[in-house]
Amino acid sequence: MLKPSVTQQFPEERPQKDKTFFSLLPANYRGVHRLNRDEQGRTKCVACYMCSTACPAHCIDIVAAPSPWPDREKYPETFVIDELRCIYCGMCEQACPVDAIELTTLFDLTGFSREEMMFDKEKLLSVFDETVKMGTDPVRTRTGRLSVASELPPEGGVTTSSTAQM
Amino acid sequence: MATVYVTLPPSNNGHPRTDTIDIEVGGEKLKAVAIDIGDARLNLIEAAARGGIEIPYFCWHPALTVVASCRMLLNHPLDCPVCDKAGECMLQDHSYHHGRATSRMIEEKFSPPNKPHIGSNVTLFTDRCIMCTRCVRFTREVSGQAELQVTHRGHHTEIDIFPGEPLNNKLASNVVDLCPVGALCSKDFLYKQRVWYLKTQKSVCADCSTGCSINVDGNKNVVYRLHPRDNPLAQGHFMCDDGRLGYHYVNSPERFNRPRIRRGAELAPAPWAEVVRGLRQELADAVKRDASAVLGVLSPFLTCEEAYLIAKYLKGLSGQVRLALGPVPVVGEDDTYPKDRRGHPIQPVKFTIRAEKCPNRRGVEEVLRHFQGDVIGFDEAVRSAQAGQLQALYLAAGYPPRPGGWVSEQQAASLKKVPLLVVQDLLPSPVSGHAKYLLPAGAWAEKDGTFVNHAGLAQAIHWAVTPTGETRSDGQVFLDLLERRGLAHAPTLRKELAQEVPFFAALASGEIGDHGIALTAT
Repeated sequence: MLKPSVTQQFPEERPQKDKTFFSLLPANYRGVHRLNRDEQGRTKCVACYMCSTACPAHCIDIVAAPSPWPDREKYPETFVIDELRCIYCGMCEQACPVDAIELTTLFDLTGFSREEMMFDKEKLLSVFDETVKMGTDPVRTRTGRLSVASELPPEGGVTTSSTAQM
Repeated sequence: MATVYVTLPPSNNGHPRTDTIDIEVGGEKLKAVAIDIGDARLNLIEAAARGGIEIPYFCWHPALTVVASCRMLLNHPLDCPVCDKAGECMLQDHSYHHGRATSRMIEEKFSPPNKPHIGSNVTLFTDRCIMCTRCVRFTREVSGQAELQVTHRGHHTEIDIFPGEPLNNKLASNVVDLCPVGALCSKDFLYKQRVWYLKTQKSVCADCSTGCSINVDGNKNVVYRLHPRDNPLAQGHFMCDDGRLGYHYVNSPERFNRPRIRRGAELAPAPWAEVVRGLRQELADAVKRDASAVLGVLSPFLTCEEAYLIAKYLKGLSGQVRLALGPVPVVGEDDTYPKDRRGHPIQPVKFTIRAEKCPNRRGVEEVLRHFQGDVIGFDEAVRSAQAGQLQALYLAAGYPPRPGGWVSEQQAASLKKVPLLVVQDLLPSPVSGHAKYLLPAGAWAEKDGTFVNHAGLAQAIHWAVTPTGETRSDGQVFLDLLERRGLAHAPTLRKELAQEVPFFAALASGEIGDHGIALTAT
């Protein structure tokens, strides 16, 4: 009787990440994907296919092309994730060498058709805009530049992006 | 007889060996492997390889002179995720097996700009170059025109061309295969696929009678690239750009993808069962009326097995049915390499692009010779058609689209006179519109079979992709016409061919192996 209520009145009340100790949404919740933008608003993705190679559900389809920008070689001409096929394991996020793909806390994913659930590059970038604006999913990652692996590890060892965020 | 002793560290990179012996060099006790190399003149890399010991190298290549470029690598960027070579890169492999996790390079890496202008089929990512100079030696020693060179000194060394003289010789793209890293990349293949998605099949280039051994790389039923496969019996280590880049028609959406039968003015799609039944009936009727007015044309793009099956079918209808060899495309003269700076060929010849632009004239000719004694040319077939002597004509064509086409408008006008015209081809041609039966043909990348090259070397081809749409491989269609059950299984058909046609007797086991079997003593 004296314990605080753990029942949440969904959908009037919506779970928020780390709002309370009894939040229904853990901090490492894996929801809808987003494609991160760099400082200039371009997609960070370099179309290396690491995510689609790592993906156990084979739900990521990329078509690569020479990049229109001078500071990188390659970019995704199209980038499509089948959100219905995805198992939300987060392997794509782990595989990404430039921190371009992240799973957000958006969990209420619905649509009227299968086609609608094929998220293309524009849609995935708009998820980034939306989640960053809402402040639910701050950008967790570092430079987003290729070749970071060739730099010396920072003093005091490597900090992973998820621990840094929590 | 000679024995080479290769010393090993005790762990041998995690692969300890049990066959080591103890030796003493200058008082130091060492473990070594004794490798008997007989009378062969080998360098240490080759000798060690015979004993199953890998000595990491970059600059050495069996077809090029020894240069011993040591102390390379330090400047290589870590851009494997966007590099096309990743997955088949010597540097990645060596680094994985023998390397260390961190770089000792403390200076700023030197990143000169890319050179996409280096050639029409080749692009250079200058900063990835490790200065092994394989490409430079290739253009000097094999293609001969020495377009590539090393410029600058020390840390600023780069590969470059002379201004306005790009790397556009017909062997240019071999530098992409030679490059041990991703510095030289193929423009045709650039960013099309990551290499680990590709499924590789051993095959033979179908673009000239040299018959270069190749690997066909495909994924999801699309051919993405061809690259040479070492074969000392065929061409050696390389292949020409005409062959390498000439495969695109295999993926063409223009290709015929279902059989059609003429109904009035239009060629209407029909199921295979109906087409095969109708075709068998009409050919049998034509043979009954006048067998000498029935003619089969076998293109030099058919495999030996396919030529054998169609010849067996048509000759089985009646011995009087005639068989002709399809047009043999010949372009210019044999083109030999190396060449000098002015483009004149020089001796000794290291690579030949042959004028005969088809893979299997010899094989098809031998089948024709066996079945009717002599080989009738395509011109005679056209003359017979023009003279109105033909009632039925089976054109087993399967020609790739090349400038000029395989049949002219004029020839097509003659062939049009034949009442029962059967065209089995890949793409529309002047004659396909006049067909009564239009059958889609399989391309070489979709077939299993045997090609016999200019020197009489029989090599196996294997399918890398499946035919588009309803297309059946030519061999399968011929089996259907023969009313034989089962699939066109190349080794079985090869055995049958070897038993029946003496020229192919050496293929009696049905298996050819990777390097092929020489059928003639040339």
